[in-house]
Formats: sequence, C-alpha cells, structure tokens
Amino acid sequence: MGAYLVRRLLLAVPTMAVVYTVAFLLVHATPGGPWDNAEKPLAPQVIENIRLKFHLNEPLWDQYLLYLRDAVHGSLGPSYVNAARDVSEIISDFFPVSVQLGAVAMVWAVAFGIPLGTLAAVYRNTPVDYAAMGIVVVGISIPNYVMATILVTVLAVLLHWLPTGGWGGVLDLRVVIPAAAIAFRPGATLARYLRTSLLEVLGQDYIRTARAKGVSGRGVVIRHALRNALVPIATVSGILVADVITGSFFVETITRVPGIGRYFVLATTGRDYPVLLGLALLFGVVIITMNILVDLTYAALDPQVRYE
Amino acid sequence: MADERIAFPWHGYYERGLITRRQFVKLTGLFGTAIAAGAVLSEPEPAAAALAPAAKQILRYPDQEPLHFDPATMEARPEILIGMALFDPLFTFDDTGHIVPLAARSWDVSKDGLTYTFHLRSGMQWSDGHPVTAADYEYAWKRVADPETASDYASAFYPIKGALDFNKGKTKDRDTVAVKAVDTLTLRATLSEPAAYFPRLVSTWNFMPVPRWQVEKYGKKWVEAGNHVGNGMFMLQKWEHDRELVIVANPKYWGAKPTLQRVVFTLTDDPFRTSLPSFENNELDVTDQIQPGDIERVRKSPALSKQLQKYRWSGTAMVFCDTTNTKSPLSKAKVRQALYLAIDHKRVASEVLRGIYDPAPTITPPGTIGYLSTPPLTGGPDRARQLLAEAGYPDGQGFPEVRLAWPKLVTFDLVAQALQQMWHDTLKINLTLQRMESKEFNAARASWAKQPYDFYLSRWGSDFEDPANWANILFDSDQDFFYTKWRNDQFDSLIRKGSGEADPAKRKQMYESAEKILNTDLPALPVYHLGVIVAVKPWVQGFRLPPAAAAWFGTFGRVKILEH
Repeated sequence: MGAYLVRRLLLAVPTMAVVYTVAFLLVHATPGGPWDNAEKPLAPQVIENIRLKFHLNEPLWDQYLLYLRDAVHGSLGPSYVNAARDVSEIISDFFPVSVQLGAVAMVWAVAFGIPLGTLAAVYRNTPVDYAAMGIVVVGISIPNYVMATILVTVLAVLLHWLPTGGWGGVLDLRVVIPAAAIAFRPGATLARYLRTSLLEVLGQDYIRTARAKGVSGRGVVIRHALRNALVPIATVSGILVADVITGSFFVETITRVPGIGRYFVLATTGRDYPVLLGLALLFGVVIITMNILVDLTYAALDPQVRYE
Repeated sequence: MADERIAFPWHGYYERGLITRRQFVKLTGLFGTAIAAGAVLSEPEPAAAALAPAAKQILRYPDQEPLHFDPATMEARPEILIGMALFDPLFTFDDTGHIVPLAARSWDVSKDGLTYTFHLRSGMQWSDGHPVTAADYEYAWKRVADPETASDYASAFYPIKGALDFNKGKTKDRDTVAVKAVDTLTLRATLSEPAAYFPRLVSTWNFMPVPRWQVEKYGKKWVEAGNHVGNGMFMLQKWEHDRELVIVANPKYWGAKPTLQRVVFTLTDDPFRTSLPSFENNELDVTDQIQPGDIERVRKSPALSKQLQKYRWSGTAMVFCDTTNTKSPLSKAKVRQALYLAIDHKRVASEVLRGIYDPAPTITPPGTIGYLSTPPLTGGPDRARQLLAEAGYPDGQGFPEVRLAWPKLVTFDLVAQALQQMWHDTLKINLTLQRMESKEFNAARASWAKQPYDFYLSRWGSDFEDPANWANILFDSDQDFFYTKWRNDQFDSLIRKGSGEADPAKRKQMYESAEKILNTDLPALPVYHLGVIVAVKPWVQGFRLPPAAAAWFGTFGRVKILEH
C-alpha cells in the first residue's frame, strides 16, 4: 500500500509538468494580453513599462522557465491584474472557501442522492421510482448556475426567506442557496448510479440467500446490498468532489461566494497569466489527489481490492 | 383617477338646499386653502424630522472587488469611486461642472501659461495624523511618472515637463520631472506647453497624494485595510477581499463632516447580475448596476419604478471608421454622412436601449466645452439616400460587404443589430456583424493601427469634462486613439490651439468650430450618449452620481439616511 502510494505520487510529477506546459501554452496562445483595456487603450511607453516590469518582453521560453523556477520554489508571483496581491495569497484566501462550499454541497448531495437512489432501486418500476428518476433527470439537466438563479429569485427575491448571497462560513444561512444549487447535480448523479448499482447487487445470489434466511427487507438493503453497491459510487464521487470544488465558477459569481472559481473566470477574461497558471496547477493537484483517494477508498470498501 | 370626483361632506347639504351655493363655494375654497397650506408646511418635514440617528447612518452599496486604492495605478470605476472618498484631490467640481478648490485653496498660472502654482489649505491631516504637505503631492506625482511604478495613467503626466523622458527611462533622475514643493503648502508644476485644462486634469484621481511613509514601509501592501492612510472624508476600515469593504467617516478630516457614518460595499464580480436581486431583497440601499434586460420589469414594478433615478454620464458610443481604407466605402466622407443620417438616434435610445441612454446626434457629450446642441448635418433619410447615390452607390447598388465589429457588451449587441436593420431599410446596404470577446476585440483593434478595417463600435467616457479629454486625445491626427487614421489639418490646428487657450470664450469658439468639422466629416458616427439608471431606496437622501469620474468626490458625503 505504501509503495503504491509513493508510485502514484511520483507519477503525479510528470502529470503536473504536462498540466503546467499545456496551460502555459494555451494561456499565451489566446488573443489579447492583460493590458488590452476595452475602454482606454494605453500609451505605447506605458505598455512598454508594464511589459518590462512583468518580464513580458522576454522570449516565451524564458518566461516559461522563469515562472516554473518560481513555482518550484513555492512562489506563484503577483497577479497581473491586481499587482498588489500574490497568486499564492489569492489561492490561500479563496480556495478554502470553495473547499468549504464544496464540502457542504457534497454532504448535501450524498444526503439527498443516496436515499433517493436507494428508494428508486428498492421500489423499482413503481411510482416512487418514477418520481425519483424524474427528480434525477431534472437535477442532471439543469446547469447549476441556472439552478442558482432560480433559487435566488424564488427564495430571496420573491419569498424573502434567504439572503441573495455572500459568505459567512458553512453554518451561515448564506450557504444555503449556493450549496443547494451545486449539490443538486452531483446528488442526482449519485442517485442514478446508485440505483443501477444497487439493482445489480439486489439481484445477486447472496442477497437471495440472506432473504431466504429471514433477514428483513430493510436489513438486506442496508447491511448487505448498500455497502457493495457503493463501490462503483466511490469512483463517481471522486470526480464529483473535484468537480464540485473546482467547477462552481458561475454559482460563486451569482451568489457572491468569494471562492476561487470566480478568480478562474476573472483571470481567464483578464488574461491574468500567473493566476491562470497557479489555478491550473492547483486544480491539477485537486484532481490527482481525488483520484488517489478514490483508489484508496476502493480498498476500504471492497476487501478483494489490494494494492501492491 | 382623473374621472373620480371628490365628494365634499357639504356637497350633500348644498344639494338638499341646506346651504347656499355661495356658502358651498366658500367652504370648498377654505378647505382647498387649508389643504394647500398643510401640504406646503408639511413638505420638508419628513426629511428634516426623520433623519436616522448616527448609528444608522449606513449606506449599503454594491461594487466590484477593487484592485487597490493606490492613486498612482487606480484606473477603473471600483477603485475610483471609493478612492475619491479616501483621498482629496486638489480640486473638485460643483454641480455646474466648474472647478472648486478642495485640498488646494487657490492656484496661479504664469503669464506664459506654463507654470502652475497650487496653494494648499493649511491644517489638513492624513488619517493617521501626519500633516498633509505639498511634498506629499510632489512625491505622488513623480511616483506615477516613474517607469518602475508602471502606471497605466503615466501618460496623463506627460504635459508636465520632464515626465515623458523620465517615464521613458531616458533619465533615472526623478527630479527632472518639473514638480516641486516650494514650501510645505505650495506646489509648483511646469508644463512643456500651455494647457488650459491642467487644473481639470489635476482633479483626477491619479494626481491625489500618497502617504510616502506607509508606501515605503509596507510596499505594495500599503493599500490593505490597517495599512491604508488617506486624506479624504472617509477612511478604509475593513476590506475582506471579494466579500465586503467598509469605509467610515474620517475624524481627522479638515472639512465638513459627512452625515453618513459608514458605507458598506458588498463586493461581487458581477454586480450587473447580482445587485438588483439584492436590492429587491433589501440587502442594498442603492444600486447603479441595472442591465437593459431588467429595465422593463423594473419599470413595471409598482415599488421599484418609484425608486429609479436617471443620470447623465459624460460619454458617447460611436462607430469608428477607417477613413483611409480605400477598399472600404467608409473611406468616403459621403458614405459616412449617409450612414449617419440614416441612423434614427431617438429610436435607438428609446426603443433599442430602453431609455437608459440618450440619443447622440453629435460626438462630444453635453456638459463639455465644444458640445453642439444641433448637429451640422441634417436632412434625415432622404438626404442620406441622396448622399449615398452621390458617393456612387445609388439605392445601395454596388455597396461592397462591410464588417461592423464590436466587443461583447449587451448594449453594443442591441445597437449593432439596430444599425444593421436601419441601414438596410433606408439605404439598402448589407452589413456583416462581428461580435468579439473583449480581449480578442482589443487585440484586433491594436492591429488596426496599421491594418485596414471597415468600422467598429466603441465608446469613450470623460475622465474629466473637458474637450482636451475628447478632441485632443481621440481625434488629433498625431494621437489617433481609436485608429480612424483621420487627418484634418484645420481640426488639428484648432484643437491644439484650443488646449492651451487661456481665454474661455475663445477656447469655446475654437472647440465648437472643431466639433463642427468633426461632425461633418464624421470619422466616427455618434450613436448614443451614456447614462446610468440608479435604484435608490426611499430612505436614502442626496444620492447622485456626477457625470464624470473626476467629479465623484463627495458622492457619499452628500448622502443622508432617513429613519426607516
């Protein structure tokens, strides 16, 4: 197990190098630079001074190595758009917010998806199943930013039950709308996968044996079937967690959550190269970590899985 | 409502013959007078009586996350709006747009128009108690011109002798920039050529002072709450990035203290989308971020419609034409004139833009010297068709494909489609529309300095309301800011003389003549003047947004919160 983990971590290094290189080339290939202002084009001398200050006058190859050298030493440099702040500061300020919001959303998604999927499987082809799958289809097909807009309009503007947005931590009321908007889709995805997986497990011999031995219906599902049905769910969950943490850009914007997703959007539209590269590296780390965690979870859930 | 009759109680008595007609009229007259008197007497009462206590003098306002409040590099609305509450510029503007002294109590100009001497007010303090001196301004101005600072606005300092060379790195000696603190309260600047607009220029944010000791102590972190020191009416109390920023009344401020004690800015990347719902949910007291798509709904809402205020914004959206691209019909003045006359400016403003913006028959916006209330070209669609025929395209025949580009913006999307339709209906010409992401557009526009193009939509807003901020930057053939490649020697001569002309009457005349040339030859076709619709809660008194950013000083100083 230890050797497996080390191998996976070592493999992450070339993966990150590829992520960095591709991100670097892509951000520099997009048209427009950080100082192409829409309203006020700058005097040539002013642009020259800025380019000098941020080494943009140097060849691309040098810029690549310069940034890489700093990144290896733990410095992600200043943001171009906001030169008063460093990329590492931006990440340390806003990434924890995204993680907290993602965690709440994921807990809600599990709390909503697992019972829904279980109900659908247990009451297969009954109105309960149809209703559950109806919710799932809605959840999967509505993008989270649309859901956020609907929730803001209904719960805040029309009913005045909740604030329209902002952030006060995981126990603050303001978490409700963004977390619900983000949770709906992964919750629905979990329910759909769980239904399929559970149906497969419920059809297997050992379940029939357990039933024949007189274990109650609920006991069979919870104690025997669910645990095995959760193994494939673990795979999906890893991707969902990474997705929830890194992919809530628009929900964060609509609900004014000061998370890192919004910086990704801002950095993209502002061509803020250091922030974009910093975030590409960060998201790479998140996704690789989640993949490793998922593989380790397999081992915990299924005794047959062993990593040598 | 108009058909309803007011039934006075004595009307019945009159009908039953209990009182005479004369008595009825008398009673009605008395009643009417009493009501009118009551209305007159009680009118100011709610405002005066209902002022909220100091603890409730809080304004909640949306803004984008500002980058920082360092006057040297402030360039966009979020920074300028708050920054002008944190610092005092030398001058500001009154309601009629005239300069009034602020940190400077007066100024002198030498006879040759080159040397400006500013006399600062005595007794001014920074928010940390340091005295405000002329040396603070000298340090701040030289800092903007310093290439190390890499300020976007360094070019605003080029009129000062030595600033361009220092900014270009030709010399490392910052003292070659001709700004000097003569004594603690006297600042002197020498220009390379006369510039009558200089006092207006120094009223902009980049000319505000900075606290040297904090800048040197904290480096780029001097702008954070806790480190930030200003000389304005308010001071920075709290700044949780991307969440909330709070400014509070500065107890050390030299001038009149504001009634408002705090302004709480809710920070968001997309105030356009998020602030109206927050305003409706009573989380904000004011929002100036209402998009055209919401306007109809807002106007139809009984509550919201009463809370709207509309302000003029000193700016114009225009279609800029490449006047030298001989392959494009737009290089012909008659074609540009035809296109201009075929635009129904009123319809664009009222129908397409839902009345948020005003029609712009001429380029320079109202409020600026040189503004023409009537355009030199008239004749409407008939004259437009005639001009197009004279240019060689009768009924649009033979008019080649032309491409109208614009950076992604809701109003531009709407306007471009409307222009396409209007020009097709009136002139029978076809237009290819090219909507671009703003960065992509800007990269393309930068290349248009040397390459040919047809035309594009863009806009310009005044930093300060003066023709030097318009004609001299946008259309001087040496500057050619928008790459129209337009050259008109008579125009150039008028505006260059005009920028240094000390006599206001002569200056006005020069710029008006220049504006006539500009609006006849039309290197840019004016479409609409900018404006802003603000939603304000009934308990907010005195809120208004001046038309140019340099006049934003005092925006929060005027506001009072009524009891609610």
